[in-house]
Amino acid sequence: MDIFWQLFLQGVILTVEYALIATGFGIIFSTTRHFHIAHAGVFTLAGYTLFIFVSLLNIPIIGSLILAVLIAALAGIGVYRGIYDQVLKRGGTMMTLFIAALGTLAVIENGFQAIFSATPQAVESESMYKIITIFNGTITLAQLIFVIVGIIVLLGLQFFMLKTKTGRLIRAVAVNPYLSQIVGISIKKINMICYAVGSALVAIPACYITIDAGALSGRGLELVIISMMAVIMGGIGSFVGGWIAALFVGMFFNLSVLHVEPHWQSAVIFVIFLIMIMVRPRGLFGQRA
Amino acid sequence: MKRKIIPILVIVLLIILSACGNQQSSSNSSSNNSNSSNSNSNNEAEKAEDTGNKDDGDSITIGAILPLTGPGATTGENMKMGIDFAVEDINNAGGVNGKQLVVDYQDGKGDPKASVLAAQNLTAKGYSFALTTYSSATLAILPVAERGKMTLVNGGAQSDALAGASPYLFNTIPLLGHEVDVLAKYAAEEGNIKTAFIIHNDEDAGHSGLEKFTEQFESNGGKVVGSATHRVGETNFRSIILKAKSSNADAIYIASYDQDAKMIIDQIRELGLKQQILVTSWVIFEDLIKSPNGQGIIYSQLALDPEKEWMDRFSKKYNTEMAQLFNVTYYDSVMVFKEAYEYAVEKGYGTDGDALKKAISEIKKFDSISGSIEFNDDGTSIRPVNIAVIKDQSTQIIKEY
Repeated sequence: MDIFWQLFLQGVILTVEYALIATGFGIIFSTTRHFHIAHAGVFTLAGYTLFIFVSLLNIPIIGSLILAVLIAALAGIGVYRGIYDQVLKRGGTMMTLFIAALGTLAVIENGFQAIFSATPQAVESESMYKIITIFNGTITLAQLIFVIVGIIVLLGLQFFMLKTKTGRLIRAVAVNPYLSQIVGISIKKINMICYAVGSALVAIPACYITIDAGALSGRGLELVIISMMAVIMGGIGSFVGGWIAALFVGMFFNLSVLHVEPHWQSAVIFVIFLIMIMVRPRGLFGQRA
Repeated sequence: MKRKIIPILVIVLLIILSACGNQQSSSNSSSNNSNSSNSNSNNEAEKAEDTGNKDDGDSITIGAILPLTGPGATTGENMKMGIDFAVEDINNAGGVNGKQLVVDYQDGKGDPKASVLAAQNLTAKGYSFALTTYSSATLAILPVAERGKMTLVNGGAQSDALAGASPYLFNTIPLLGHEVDVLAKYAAEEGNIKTAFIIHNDEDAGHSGLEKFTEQFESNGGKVVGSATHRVGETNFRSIILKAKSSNADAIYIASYDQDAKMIIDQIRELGLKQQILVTSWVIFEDLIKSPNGQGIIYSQLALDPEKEWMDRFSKKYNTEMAQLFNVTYYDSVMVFKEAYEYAVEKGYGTDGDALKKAISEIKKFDSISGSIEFNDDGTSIRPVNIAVIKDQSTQIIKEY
C-alpha cells in the first residue's frame, strides 16, 4: 500500500506536467489549428532561461521563475508573429506551417545545445530539494510547489475561459473563426493571447524539470508528444478531456511499473492511443464537427 | 470528422520520425562544434587535419572518440586527462620514434550514432589508431574501424560483448563480468546480502551487468528479486526506484553510467530507501564520493594503483588528490600505442592499422603505470579487483581479491 501511495504521488506530479503542456498545446491548437510542434522548443527555452537567470545572473529563484514564464510567453508570441504568421501571409498551407514549426524547433534545440553543450545545466537550489513526507510518501519541495501551482493555474485558466470576456472570445474563435471575424473579433489578437497563455503554461513544467534534473535540449520533446496525444485523446477543445487523458497517462507510467517493464511503457501507451483514436477519433470529450 | 484522422496520424508519425532525425542532426552539428571548442587539442587537431594524414613527417596523430558532452561528459573528461597526460609525457621524452604525438578528439557523446560519424571522420583522415569508450558506441564503431583498418584501444567500456568482438579491438580495462563477479560474490558471501534488485541502463554494458550479477549472485546463494531498465540520459527514475523499493531487496545494484547513476542514487535517498547500494567502478567519481548521498555505497574497484612518481606528477598537474580509474586506463592506452608503433616500425610491419594490430598481439604484455597489462587472444585484459566502500567522503578498501 505504501508503494502504491508513493507511485500515486509520482503519478500526480507527472499528470500535472502532462496536463499543463497539453492544455498549453490544446489552447493554441484548438484556436489557431496550428500544429505548434515548436511548443517543445519553448519548453527548452524556458528551462535554459531559468538556468541563465538563477545560475549565471544570480537572480533569486522566485524572480527567475516569473521571468522565465514571461519570456516563454513572449517567445510564443514571437514564434507566431515572426514565423507562422509570415508563412501564412505568403500563402503557406498548414503543412508548410508544420514544416516551419519543425524547423523552428530544430533551430531552438540545436542552438541551445551548441551554446550550452549536451551536458545538463543544473540549477543549484538546495532549499528546493528539501524532502517532505506526506503519509509516508516522500516528495521534494520543488515537486510540492509545482503540483500546487500547476493545479491553481489550470483551474484559474478554466475559470478564465468560462467566465471572462476574453475567454469567451477565444472559445468563439475556436468554434468558428470566420463567423468571429465577421462579428468584429480580431483573430490576430486572440491568436497572440493563445500563444502567450499556451507558452506560459509549458514554461511551468519546464522550470520544474530544470530545477529537478537540469536544463537540456530535447528534454521536452517526449513530454510534448505525449501531451499532444493527451489533447487528441481528450478531445480537441476540451480542457477537462485533456486533463483526464493526462491523468490516465501520468498514472499509467507510474502505477504500471510493477507489472509493465519500463521500456515497454511508451509503446503500450501509444498502442492504447492508436486503438482509442480508431474507435473514437474525436477523443473523449471532442465535439462532433 | 473521420477524414481528419489520417492527417493527424501522419503528423504524429512525422513528429516521431522528426524526433529521431533531429537527434541525429543535433549530434552531428555539435560533434563538429566540440571539435573546435576543445581548446587543448584544437591546434593539434587542426594541424592533423591540414595534412589529412596520420603521419606527416614531424608528428603522428591518433584519434580519440570520447563523450565530451552529454550525460557521460564527466567520464570523457577523466579519459581526456589521462590521454593528455600521456601525450605530454611522451612528447617531453622525445615523442614516438622521434615524432611528436597529437590527438584528434572527437565528441562521440557516448552515443553510437555520433560515435560512428566520428569514426568515419577519423578513418577518412587516414588515422590508423583511435581510443574509444562506451560499449554500444565501441561495438557500433567496429565495422567502420575494420573497413578503415583502424586499430582501437578501449580503456573505458566494459560490456562482455566486447570480448573477441573484433581483431582490431583491444581493451585495457577488464570487462564488466570480471568486476561484477567479484562484487556479486562479496555481496552474497560477506556482505550479508540475501536479495538484490538491479537497476540498469538499456545499453550493452547495462545488460551485461544484469546478466553477470544475476549469474554470480545466484550461484553464491543470493537471489535477484527484480530488475528495471532505463534509457541513458533519463531524468526521472522515481517510478523504477519505487519498484525496487516494493521488492524489499536487501541491496540495489546499479549498472548505469555516471550522471544517470548519480541521479538514481540521489532519487533513491530522496524517496527514503535505506537499502545498501552496490555499484562498479563506473560511477565512482569525486562528486559522488563527496556527496552525502554517496556515503556507504559499496563498490568494486579495479586495483589500479599508480606508481608514486607518476601519481605525484599527476596530482601536481591536475591539482587532485587521487587519480581516477580512467585517468590510468587511458594513460596506459596511449602508452600501448607508443610501444606498438615503435615495435611495428622496428619489425618493418609498416604503420597502418594492421601493423599496429599485429604488433599489439605479438608484444602481448605491456608495461603499465600500475603493474602490467597482458592482452588475451580475444583482446581483453585482466587486472586485480578490490571491494571498497565510500565512507567519510573518502574511499576505503574492505577486501582485496
